[in-house]
Parts: sequence; structure tokens; C-alpha cells
Amino acid sequence: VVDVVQGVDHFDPDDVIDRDPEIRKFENLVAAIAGPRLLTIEDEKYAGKTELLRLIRFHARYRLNPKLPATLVDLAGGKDRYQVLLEMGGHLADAGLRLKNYQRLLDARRVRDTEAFGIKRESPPIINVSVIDSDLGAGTIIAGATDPVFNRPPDDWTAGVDQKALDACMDAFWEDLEGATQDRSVVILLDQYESASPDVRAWMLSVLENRIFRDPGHYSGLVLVLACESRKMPMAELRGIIGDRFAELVCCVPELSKWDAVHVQQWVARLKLHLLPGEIAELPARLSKRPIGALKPIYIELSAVNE
Amino acid sequence: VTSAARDELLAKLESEEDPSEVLLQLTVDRLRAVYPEIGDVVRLAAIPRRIDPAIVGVLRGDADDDRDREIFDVLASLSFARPLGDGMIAYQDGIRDSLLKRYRTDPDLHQPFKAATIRLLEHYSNIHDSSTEAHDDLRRVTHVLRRANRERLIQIAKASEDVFIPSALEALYHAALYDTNTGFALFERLFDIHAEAERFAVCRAIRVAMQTYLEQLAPDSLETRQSSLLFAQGRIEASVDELDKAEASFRSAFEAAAEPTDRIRTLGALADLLQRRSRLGESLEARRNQVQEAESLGSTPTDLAVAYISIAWVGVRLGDMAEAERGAEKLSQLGLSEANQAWVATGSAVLGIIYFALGRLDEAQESILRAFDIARLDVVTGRATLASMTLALEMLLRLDRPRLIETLRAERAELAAAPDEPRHPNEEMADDIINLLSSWLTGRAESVLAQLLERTDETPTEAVATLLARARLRGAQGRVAEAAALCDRVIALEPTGTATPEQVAEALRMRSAWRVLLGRRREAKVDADDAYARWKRIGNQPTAALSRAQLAEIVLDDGDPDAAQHILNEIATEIGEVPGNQAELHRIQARIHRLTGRTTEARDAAEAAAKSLDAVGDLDRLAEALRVVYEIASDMSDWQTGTSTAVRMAEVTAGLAMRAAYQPTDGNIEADQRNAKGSRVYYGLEPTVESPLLSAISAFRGCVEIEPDNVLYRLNLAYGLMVASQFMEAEQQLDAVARQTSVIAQSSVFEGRAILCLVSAAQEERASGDRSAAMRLFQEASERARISGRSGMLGAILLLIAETALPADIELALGSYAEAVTIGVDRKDPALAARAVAKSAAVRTVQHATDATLDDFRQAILWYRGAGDQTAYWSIVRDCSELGIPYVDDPRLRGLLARLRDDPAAEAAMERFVPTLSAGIPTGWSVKESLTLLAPDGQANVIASSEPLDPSMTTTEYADIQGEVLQKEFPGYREHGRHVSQVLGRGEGIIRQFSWDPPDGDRVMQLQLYFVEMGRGYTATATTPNSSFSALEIQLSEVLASLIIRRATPTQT
Repeated sequence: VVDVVQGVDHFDPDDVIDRDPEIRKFENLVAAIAGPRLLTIEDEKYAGKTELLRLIRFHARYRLNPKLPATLVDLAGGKDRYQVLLEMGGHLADAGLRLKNYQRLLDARRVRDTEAFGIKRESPPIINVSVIDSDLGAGTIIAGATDPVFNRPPDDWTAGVDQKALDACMDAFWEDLEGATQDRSVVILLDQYESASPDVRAWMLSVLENRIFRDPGHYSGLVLVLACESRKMPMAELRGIIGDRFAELVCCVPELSKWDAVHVQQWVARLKLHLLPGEIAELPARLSKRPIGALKPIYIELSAVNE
Repeated sequence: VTSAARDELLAKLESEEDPSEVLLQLTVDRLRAVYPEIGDVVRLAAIPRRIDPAIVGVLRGDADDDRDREIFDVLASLSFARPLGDGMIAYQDGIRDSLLKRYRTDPDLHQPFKAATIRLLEHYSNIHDSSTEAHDDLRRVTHVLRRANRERLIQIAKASEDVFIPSALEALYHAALYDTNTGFALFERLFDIHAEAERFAVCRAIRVAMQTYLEQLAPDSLETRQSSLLFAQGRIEASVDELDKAEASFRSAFEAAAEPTDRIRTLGALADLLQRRSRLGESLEARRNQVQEAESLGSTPTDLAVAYISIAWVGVRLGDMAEAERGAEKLSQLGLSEANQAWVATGSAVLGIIYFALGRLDEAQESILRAFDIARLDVVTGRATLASMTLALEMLLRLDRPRLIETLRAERAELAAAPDEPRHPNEEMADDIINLLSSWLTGRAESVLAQLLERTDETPTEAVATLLARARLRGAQGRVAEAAALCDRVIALEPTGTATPEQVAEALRMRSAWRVLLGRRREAKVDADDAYARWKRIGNQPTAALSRAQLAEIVLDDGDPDAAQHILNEIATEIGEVPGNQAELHRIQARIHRLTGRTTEARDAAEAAAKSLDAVGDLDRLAEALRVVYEIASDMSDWQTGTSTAVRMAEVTAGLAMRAAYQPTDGNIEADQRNAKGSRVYYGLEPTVESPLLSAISAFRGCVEIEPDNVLYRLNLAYGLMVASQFMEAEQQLDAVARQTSVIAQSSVFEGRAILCLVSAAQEERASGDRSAAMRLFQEASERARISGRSGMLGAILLLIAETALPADIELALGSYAEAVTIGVDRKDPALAARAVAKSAAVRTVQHATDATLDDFRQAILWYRGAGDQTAYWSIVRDCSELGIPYVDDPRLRGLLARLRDDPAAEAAMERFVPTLSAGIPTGWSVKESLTLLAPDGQANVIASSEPLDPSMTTTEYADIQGEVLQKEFPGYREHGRHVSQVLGRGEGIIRQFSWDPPDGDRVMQLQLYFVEMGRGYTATATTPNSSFSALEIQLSEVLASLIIRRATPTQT
């Protein structure tokens, strides 16, 4: 099975070599007591965090029973909170999660329907025209539209209204998600926290504090997975937000599990390298001189020169 | 790969600090062996964050779809390329980072990196520019589309959303990657553009992105950019009414500002914000600081002017006249030094107000008059300063300063003294100002009217009519105070007898309406009552009812539905049904029901109103009534669907009608244009820039594709197309509408269009063979054309009726022709008369044998010539051809036409062309010859040719062989007939008529002639598009008949 999330990612689980320990932790978290849970994943750059998140998403969507709706959003790239929201909402909708009110408001914003946001729309302006018959039929029209017509923008959708609408969409998203996670699990995976814009970082912490972990018993099926470069995870803030229940609700992966000789052999086998058995046996020892992150390209290279 | 090579490689990788570079180099080397030009692209592909074939083209600097796709496939196959779901790929982060680092540090790679980054920047900027256009276009038509097809709109909006902001971020990212100064410059430019257009979602997104890119790419530069980022933040917050936050952001921006320009800008924004928050003292303080910095720095004059005028106005509002005076004076001085009249005038006008407030009246007057003088110098400046001047004048006029009025009168006289010279726009402007003043001088209505009378040669009653017309116009333009003042003048004339009782009653009725809008409701009621009494006395029941209804409406607005209902009942008992005004009464009834919570009754009444109005064809009232329906519909979701259709219809109709037939009015062209444009923009039919019309058209086209049966979409599309001058397609849409519904046919507003639609529908029916249905439609169209006095249309329809009636109902046909001749003569439309008389003569020739004479055709020739037709004879031939079988083939008609052709008066004799080429022929060679005749409009041609044949072949065999070829080779071949005829001046030949579909064009009809003599085969082919054949048949036959074989055969020459 290849996991294709429309427009976002394309993933083959066979590309990832054994991440069983991390997957077990995720599974335990899913199966754990009710309440929003958080899995934090840290390691150095290029250590394979993104691959792991994609594997977890795949696992949630195709291997768990029951299958869980999951979204993986890369926080990097200078996105603001609304873009992250749109991405998250879009993935979850594609995964079949019904976020009814959110979707309704999002569409209402797209059609600039002020009424959906409780903003009274002015009646269309009065158009005064009088018609004098003429041979061609359409009539000569002495016109005029009244001031509101030519002074107003094509619609009443001002920046303030748009802001209100976006905030309403955002509220609706979290409220719908709260409802949806009452009786089922939903997985949200967030990657590259360290590269997120200040806006997104602030927003995320505020959502965790003011919504997700505010009161026990809410978002009970929500499983959050947050990946971040080593030493950049906002651990102190998370502890402050979650408080006494931190140990109960949070599972930390301070670094990814290291590969042993078996993993290296699996990897070599997967790359279909034309190596002699002796060479394969020798590789782990040679490669283990380096940290695993830096080794990754070497494997890739081996694959490349053997293609 | 050998084991040794692998060992070597592994050793190298193990020893390298950055193995990615080794990897990449190896990859590039390997690929180069297969694809020589790919190496650079493999490296450059690390720059973009996502790669697709188009990006490959950008990286190569040479777009070529096939090549780009090919290279993209190679890139996608690389082991470090990560596939993304939507057909895009990205390099793995490690490889990307390593490569980008290499680009920055290796001088050899610097240049190609920069060049590719710039190309990517341009690529995404272009996408962003076009997506911005699309975003704005969509915004303009959203209100129409929302009601027309919400789902479709969501679809389009989502597509726009997917590109609009992401493309800005990509452009910004690549600019920042190029270098942070370029990135920041692009950010500021984009921010200004989007903020100006109130697209704050994108402003917010790019601000966040810029800050992130700076943090990641050049954290050191963040501090110097902080002020700008905070300033942008403040602008966003101010736009979404988060005023506290905005103020804090501006203050922080000011604190962080290192550059004076940043400080000036921030102080200006802060002053605006404080003014908006009514903290005028603080605003003035900020403004003073801004001006101080700006003056010492030498800011742009425009910035200074804005600051000065702000100081002046805030000073006036605060009562700090000394400060205000300084501001206004500085503005005037700046205007003088910069030669900007608008600033001088505005400064003078504001000074006038300040002096007035200070009691320095002479100085006030002087300043105001100076402002006037300047305004008269330049029409644009005049408009710009008009607003401030009117305020100043209003203040002055309260003192009723005789000198000012005298000055104005003198101006007037001066203008009147040179009536023959073309009026300069400035004079029109002065006129406007005088009119404006007049409306304030309510106590002097007579003298103003007297002035008006002086300058026209109208009779007094006509002049009053002019006044009333102007009042109506001003009211329609929303300038109700002026409208009411114009009514005042008419009413004031009653004692003099200049105004008729009807005019006074009408003025009262109108003034009542304007007074409602001016908030003078009590007086409005008195006027409405008075108007009702007068119209009743005059005996005009409908208008009396209308006046009474007006009173009901005012009472209703006062919140007394019972009293309003009472008045409506009174009208019903006292006046009864009032044709033409019934709709108005229904409309008010609907409002009453609505206010009293009887929504079902309200709906019925509103629909009745809409129906009555539709019949009356009064657009404004139609729109208004339907608006009531709309309002009710908003309250009643269960039948919203039904009424929204009516609303859409009304809005579209009104908007389109305005667009279709708007004419400027009484000289206030600017207001007229603004009104017209406003309405058109409102209805999504007028571009405010260049492309929204096309965008609306394409949106409606999309709607039609989705719902081909939805008449409203087709109407929208048709009228959009008409506005865009795409008449052919518009006609097609209207045809489709006419076939689908009678809605358009019911609209008296579009009577002419409706008639055309009926005609199109009838023609369609006739083409499909249902003559009786066609006749019914033609008859209806002719009846409506007759009633609405569209005689030109009627004439054309009569000809169509006659042709549909033939050959069965000859009396009807001849009657129709006779009426058409009369219309042609009456309307001075000789071409119509000529066509009718020619066709009538042809019909009589064939069916009455002796009735028609050559004289009838001669008359037609004269009329055609009168219409400027130089080929009158051929026009008659075309008229006769159009009658089709049996007329076309009739020997009597052909004979008569031949006589006409030979008649010198017809000037129709054909010139003869004799081939001029001749050649010597080597022994054994054969010769083919051909002759081509082309119609001037390219719609027909005749090609005659001859070729050597087996001497034994006969004409029949030749025709058969040709027939077989046609059958085999010509797509869609169909034979319509084949007959033997005298040809080429020699003997019996064969003529075949057939049609087929040329691969590159419309279906054609051909007449082909075959003849064999002395071992040569002769063929002549006349060709014309199928649709033109009936009009050209006789002419083509005549050309074929005119072909002859010269006595000497070519081979003997």
C-alpha cells in the first residue's frame, strides 16, 4: 500500500527501516487512557524524524484497527496559523473526518457569505431607473444608483469581516475536533516545530493551553505527535501547560533508536545492492563509525552507484 | 560496479566531512554520461522547495515541455528525491541544505545559483500576479455567483486559494534566498500592493513568512527589520479593527525605528489611528512630531501635504484654531511652491472655515473665493477641493453674504455673455457650483429660476418641466436635498401661474419622497396628502393612488402598519384597481404583511407585485419590488430557492439594462459615469480594471456548462458577451434561451430583444420543418413588433412570414409583401421595399403566371439603387433564390430574370472573361486548363476546367466516374440531384448538385457540370457554404450557364 495524501505527500512504508520501538510507543499512546495525548520526538537534523512521522501516519491510517484519521503538517516554510489550519482541516476531511461546522464556515468564507458569520448584510442598494421606450427595446435609462452603490466595494467583505470569519473557522475547527474526538481517535502529527514561524509556534502553544489541555475530559481521542530538532522542543512550556498530568499524557522520544547490524543489512538488502555476502557483513562495522544521520546519504549513494 | 571501486567509494565517503557532496558529484557524473546537459539542473534543483516539470524549465532557463518532463522524470528517479503526492518532488532536506550551503560558499557556483534563484523568483511572481488578478476578479463576481451557483463558487474560490497565498510565499522565499535585501524589498512592495487593495489575508501571510525567512536565513538582519515588521503588523491590526494591538505595534515600531523615514511613516500611521480613536490631542501631537521630522528630513511633498491637512482638520475639530491655521497655511504654501493647485485650493478653503470660526469674516470670504478661483482653473482640482469648499460655503451662506452671491451672479452673466463659444469644462464646473449654491438659497428660489429662464429659450412651462426633470435626476443620483430644492422652486411658482396644476402636484409628490429621505417625515406626509388631493382634483386617479400609496409607505415606515393598511383599503374602495400602479400597492401590502408577521401573505403580495411590474416593464420598480421579495426570502429559508430566482432575474435585468442602454444625462457626466459604472460593477458586468468582465463571462460560461438548462446563467452570459462585443456567441445564448423559456419573451423591457428571440426560435422551427410552429412564432413576433411600433423589425418579420407561408398560402404571402413594401416606403427604407416587391413579383410570376411584369423588378432595381446598392440586379436574384424550390427552378421566373439582366436599365449584363494564356505543347504532352471565378466576399467560387480523356468516353460515363470519386473521397457526401441540361453552348451535359464536409471548414454545397467532346472532359464546379446556397443558387446557375467552349479547341491553337 502506498499512502498518497492528495497534494501533500506520497509515502511507501518500505522506505523506512525498522522503527518498531517508536511505533510501539505510538501504539501504546493510542491505546492509553482517555484524554488528549502527546508524543514528542526529538533528534538531530536529518536523523529521520520526518520519515518516522510519515510512517506513523501510515500506521494510523492503514495498519491500526480501527483505522484512524491522521494529518501530518510540516510547520516549516513560513506558514501562518491560518495556512496550517487549512492544511490540517483539508487532510482530515480527505481522511473522512467530518468537521461539519468548520467546513460550512470555510465554504461560507469562500463565498463571502457574511450572514453565516452573524454579520448582517445590508440590503442591496436601491437602484433608481426609469425607462423610456425606444425602438431597440432595451430602453433609455436615466439612471442612477445611489451613493452606496458606487462608494462601496463590490461586496461587504472587509478585512475586519475576513478576520472574524477566519477566527470563526478556527474556533469551529477545534470545536468540531473536540466533538469528533469524543468517541474516536484522531492523530495530528506536526513536523519541524523548530522551523515554524513565531506566529505558528505561539498559536500552537496557545491552542494546547487554552483548548486541548485546558480541562480533562475534552479532546479525549486526540493523539498529537510533535517532532522537533534536539534541544529545541518547548519542553518547559509543555510541562507548564500540561502540569500534573504530564507524566500520564506525554510520551517523549528524546532521540530515535540507533540502527544495529541487522538494520544495516536490511537497508542494504532493500537497496538491492549487488554486494557479496562478505561485503554485506563488513558494512555495518564500516558504517557504524559515523552517527546514523550522517550515514543516510551514504546508503543512498550506495543505492545510486548500484542502480 | 566492481568490488574495488566500491571499496574506494566507501573509503572516500567515510573520510568526507560532508558525504552528500560526494554523493551528488557521483550522481551528476553518472547522469552526465547519459544526459550531457543534466548536471547543472540536478544541482540547481536543490533551490526550489518543490519541483515539477515547469520548475525544471525555469531552472534550465528554457521552457520546453517535452524536455522538461523528460528531465523531471530523471530527477524523480534519483534516490534522494522525495515524491510529493501531487506529481511534484522535493530533494531530501539533508541534500538540499548541503547544496545550498555549497552554493553560498563556492564562488564558482555563486553565479548560476543567483541566476536560477532570480528565475524562480520571477516565475513565482508571475504566478502570484496572475493569481492576484484572478482573486480580484472572483471577488468582483462573488456576489452574483454566490446566488447563481454557490457550489461552483466554492470550487473556484478554493482553486484560487490554493495558489494565491502559496505563490506569494514562494516568490518571497526565493527573493530572500537571493539575498535578504531583495527579499525584504519584495515583501514591502507586495505588502503595500495588497494592503492598498485590502487583501489583508495575504498581507498577514507574507509578514509572518518574511519574519520566518529572516530568522532562518539572516538572523542578524532581523533587528534592523524589526520596525518595518512591526509597522506591517500594526497596519494589519488596524485594518481588522484591533485598535489596541495596532497602537501597541505602531508604538513598538517607533521605538525600534532606526531610520528617520521609518519614524515618520510610523508617526503618521499612529496619528491616523489616534484620530480614528477620537484621541485628537494625542493625534495632533504625533502629527506635529511627524511634521517636525519630515520637514527636517525633506520628506516627499505628498507626505507633507497629507500631514498638513490632517493637522488643519484635527485642529479645527479640537478648536485649536492657531494650530489649524498653521496647518492650512503650510498646505497652501506647499501647494504654491510645488505648483499643486489642489493643495492651494484645499488650504484656502480650510483657512476660510478657520477664519469664519474666528469671526474674521472678510478674510474667510477672501479665502473661499480664492479657492473658488483655483477650482475654476482646473476641473480635476476643482473636483478634489469641492468637498471642502462646499462645507466652507455652507458656513458662509448662513450669513447670506450678498457679496458672494453678487460675485456668483457676475460669473453667471460672464458665462452667458459668450453663449456661442464652446463651453470649457471649467465653466461647466462653475455652473455646477452655482447650481449647488442655488439649492441652498431656498429663500431665493424665484431669482434662481429667473436666472434659469433667462438662459433658455424654453417657454415658462417647458422651463418648469426642465426643473422637474432635473429634480427627478438629482433624486435618482441620490442628491435628494437638491432634488427637494428643485421641487420647492416649482411649487413656489404656483401663484404666478407659470407652473401648471399637474406640475405642482407632481412636484409635491416627488418632494414628499425626497423629504422622507431627508428625515423630514412630518412635512413629507403633508406633501403626500396635498399631492393626493391635487391629483384627485385634476382627475388623474392612478397618480392620485400613487400619492396616497406614498403616504401609506411613510406611515408604515413610522411603524404603524394598521394605519398603512387602512390607507390601502381606502385606495381600494375609493379608486379601485389602478392599472400601472397595482404593483406599487402590492409591494406596500407585502411590506405590511411582513411587518405584521404574515409571511405567506407577504410572499404572495410581493410576487403579485413582481408580476404586475413585469407587465408594466418599469425597471426601477421591478427591482425594488423584487428586493422586497428578496428581503422576505432571507427570512424564509423554505422558499428561498424559488424567490432567489426572481431576485436574480430582477437584478440581472436591471444591471444589464443599465449597461445595455445607459446614456449620459444632463451634463453632470462625471456623476453619470460614476453611477453607471457603479451599477455595472455591482452587477458584476463591468470591469473596474481590464479583465473582470471576461472573468464574469468565463464564470457564467462555467455555470452554463454545469447547468445548461438554467436560463438565468445563459442570460447573464449572453449579456456579458454583448457587453464584450462578442455578439455571435451572445446571439447563440439568446437563441438557446428563447428555445428554453418564455421568460425573456415576457419581459417588455427587452421587447426588442424578445422579438428577435422569437424570430430566432421561429427560424429554428422552420429549419426543423415545423412550418406551423414557425408561423405561430413569427406571427407573435410581428404582432409585438407592430404594437411596440418597431416597424423596421416588423418589415423584416413580414418577409419571413411570407416565405414561411409559401407556397401554400399565397394570399398571406402577398399580403405580407405588400405591407412590407408600404413599411419600406413609409420608413424611407428602400431596401426593404425593394426586397418585398422583388419577392412578390417572383411569387406572382410563378404562381399567377401573368400577373407580374418586368416593371415590378425594374421598380425593385430603382429602390435598391436608392439604398446605395450597386449590384441591384444580383440582389434581386438573391431575393428570388431565397424563395427556394419551386421558385428557383421555374423557367418563367428564370426567363423573366434573364430579360431583366439583359435590360440595359438593370445594368446587369455580365462582362465576359476570355482566357489569355496560350502555350506550345511538346509532342506527347497533355494539357489541362482551368478558370477560377471568385465572389467578392469569398462566399462562392466557380472553377471550370478541361482535361484530355480517352476518346471513347461519353458525358454520362464521365459524370458517373466523377460521381464515384466524389462518393469515395468526400466526407459526408450527399447527392441532392442530377439532371441533363444544355451546357457550354454545345449540347447536353449533366449537372449534379451535392454537399459535403470539407475537413477544414463548414459544409459546402456544389453544383457540378460535366460535358465530354472530342476527347476532352469539361467540368465546372460552383461552390458555396451550405448556408449561403439558397441566396446564391440562381446566380451560380447563371454563371455556369454563361460558360461556353470557344470554337477553336485549345490543342489546335
